[in-house]
Amino acid sequence: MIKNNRLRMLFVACAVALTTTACSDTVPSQDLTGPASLTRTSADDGGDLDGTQIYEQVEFLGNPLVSEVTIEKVNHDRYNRTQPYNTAEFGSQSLAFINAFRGSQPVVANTLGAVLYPDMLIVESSRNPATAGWLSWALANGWGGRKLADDVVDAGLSAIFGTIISAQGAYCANGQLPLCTDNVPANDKAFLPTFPYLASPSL
Amino acid sequence: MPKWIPTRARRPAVVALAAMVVKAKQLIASDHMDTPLVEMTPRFDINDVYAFPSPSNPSRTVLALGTASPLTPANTPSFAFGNRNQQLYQLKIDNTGDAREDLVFQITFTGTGGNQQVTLRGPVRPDRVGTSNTLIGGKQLKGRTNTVLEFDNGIKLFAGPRDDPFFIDLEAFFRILPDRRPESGPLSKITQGPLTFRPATGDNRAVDFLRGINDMAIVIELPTSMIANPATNGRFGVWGTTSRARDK
Repeated sequence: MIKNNRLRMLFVACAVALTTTACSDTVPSQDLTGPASLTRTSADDGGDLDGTQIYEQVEFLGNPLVSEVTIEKVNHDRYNRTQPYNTAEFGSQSLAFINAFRGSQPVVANTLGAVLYPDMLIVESSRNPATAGWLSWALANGWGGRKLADDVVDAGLSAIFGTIISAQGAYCANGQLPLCTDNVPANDKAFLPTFPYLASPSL
Repeated sequence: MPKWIPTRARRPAVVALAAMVVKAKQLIASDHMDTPLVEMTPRFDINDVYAFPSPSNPSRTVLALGTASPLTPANTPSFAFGNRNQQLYQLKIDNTGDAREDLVFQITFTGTGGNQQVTLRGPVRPDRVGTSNTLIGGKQLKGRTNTVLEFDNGIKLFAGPRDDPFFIDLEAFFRILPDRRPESGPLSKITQGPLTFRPATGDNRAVDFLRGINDMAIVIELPTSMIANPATNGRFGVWGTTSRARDK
């Protein structure tokens, strides 16, 4: 998918950086506000809605940043009512958006398009779980998915404005000011080492 | 004029920033503009989808769906997931490589805010592939919200308010592109400049705008073997949807 060896090396560097900075901010388990319980599998509850009530999709999200950044707002309603297998239509819009400011480096748009479409979080579950991280499946032969601690804002900014994919036309070094980082590298609360992993709410 | 953006490239860069800010605004703001429905009904809004190996058991996979952010602490305890008469939450899995869902998790709720019952169907093959879906009969896992639920088939489920795991310096976004600022509240007072994000240290350092902000999260953990397909070497895709009940 990534044909250029130089690009591959840059991707690996980026993915490694993402991996090594992630998941280091855990604390001992915290009690949930509700009591933990063991609930057994129950039989069908009589499901009066099963198979009869139709639900129409109104919101869709796969990869972070894709639709919201690269799809024109006027098309968001249509995008939200689509599915990954329909996004060939939107892939071209994303490429057009990226080419609007990195037009002399079509490799940037083409590379991003290839890893972001179809718009799903891709997991290569046969690979080493320690390599999990957003887009690591494509960039570093990794597990992929998306971890809570992944700094997808910086990754996205650096991919668009930085030198990750191409140094040509870049606005900043990866992860550097003025535009390739927002300098918020981690969540305000530490993630939990145990299920459900997300930190308790502020109340 | 900022010297770090060549004149020729300045406008496209601003366009790009505009788009980034739109995303940021959607992530944290109640004035989400994707659709009138989602704008007026934040519980339909999906903020983020996650998929990662269980930190304690790498043979298990965790899927998380964040919705309804931003929730202030004051609004959190009484906030409710959409009732199943009105709303369906789903996580969908493609494990054959055609970008069509082969397995779905369907999550529905009954009861009122802060005291709801959650029902999980799946992972199971959907009756209907695509954007019009029905609840699948058969096995269901049930429990209370805001509680860690463990089932004898190896699935863990949690649905309830959590700290929004996303992090971003939203104020800096609006300083770079103030025309995307909200109409009211402190951020509406922001003026443009400088056209850069803020440093990591010092008096003017970057701030996580989602600090102390909550979302309504659905978290599922299960053996990866329940969703991975050996025929595709364990490769699968994950996405989240919310759906609205069609009038009968």
